[in-house]
Amino acid sequence: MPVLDHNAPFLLWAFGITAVVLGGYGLYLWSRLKAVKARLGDYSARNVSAAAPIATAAQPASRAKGPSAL
Amino acid sequence: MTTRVLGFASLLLLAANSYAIFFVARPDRVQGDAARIVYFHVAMALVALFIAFVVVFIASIAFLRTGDLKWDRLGHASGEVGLVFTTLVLITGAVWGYPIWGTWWSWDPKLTTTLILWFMYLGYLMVRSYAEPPRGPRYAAIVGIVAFVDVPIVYLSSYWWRTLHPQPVIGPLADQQPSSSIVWLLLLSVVAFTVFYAFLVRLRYDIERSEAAVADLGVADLGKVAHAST
Repeated sequence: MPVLDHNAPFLLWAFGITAVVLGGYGLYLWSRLKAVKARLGDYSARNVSAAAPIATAAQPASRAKGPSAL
Repeated sequence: MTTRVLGFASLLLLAANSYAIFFVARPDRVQGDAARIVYFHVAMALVALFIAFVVVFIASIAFLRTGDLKWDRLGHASGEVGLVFTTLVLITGAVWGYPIWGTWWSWDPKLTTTLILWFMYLGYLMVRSYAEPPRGPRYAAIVGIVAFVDVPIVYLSSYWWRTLHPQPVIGPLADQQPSSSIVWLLLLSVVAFTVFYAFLVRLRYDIERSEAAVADLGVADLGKVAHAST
């Protein structure tokens, strides 16, 4: 470690505040980007599934009247 | 991909810069260890004044000319990061000033014009956030152009008026060139903070773009619901 003089507390304060503010701001932006990208992924997936053909339980027209009585 | 590269590069450069500030830089004969504050205080000031706010100025003009929202997003991202840097410049300047000047704050031309700059870019972000689109981005762009007038005033204030603040140590207007080791360390700081600025602006820009896409998809979803219910 370097030998620090009587003004060292001011240096450490200034450096600490800078590191905490910039680090915190960077992490905040990073997590916010992750969250909004996840939401964008959800919306996109929902839109893709809405656009896809829907599988239904409807019977084909030839069997619309139900199974023939045998 | 670019975001990750910028993130790793800025992390490495800032780590190297911190090492250099504490282990390579020598304390000043008069100021002692407080002189080491200058390496990040000056670097953040240069990046805020000559990169962040210049980008806001150019993006504001481009937005008013083209109406393309990408310029508005870029200006907003750069303005926010520039404001964070300016806030830290004011704080670290005050922490440096106390042991050197004997006071945390003085209504010195350099400090006063920097505080005015801080309020102007705060106003830019407030107009951008609170005014409804499409007027918000347009009004913010006008504020972004007007606020830029203060940037050269801040830089030249120590030449125009009598001031406590030291004269610039590097650049064409510097009175005396410092030793080469100080210049190299200062340049390393400027490069490290420039890359970190680019990383933060990239993140902020991507957030804006993704939020706009989510809003568009949300509106599209609402449209589908409304269509299905009729």
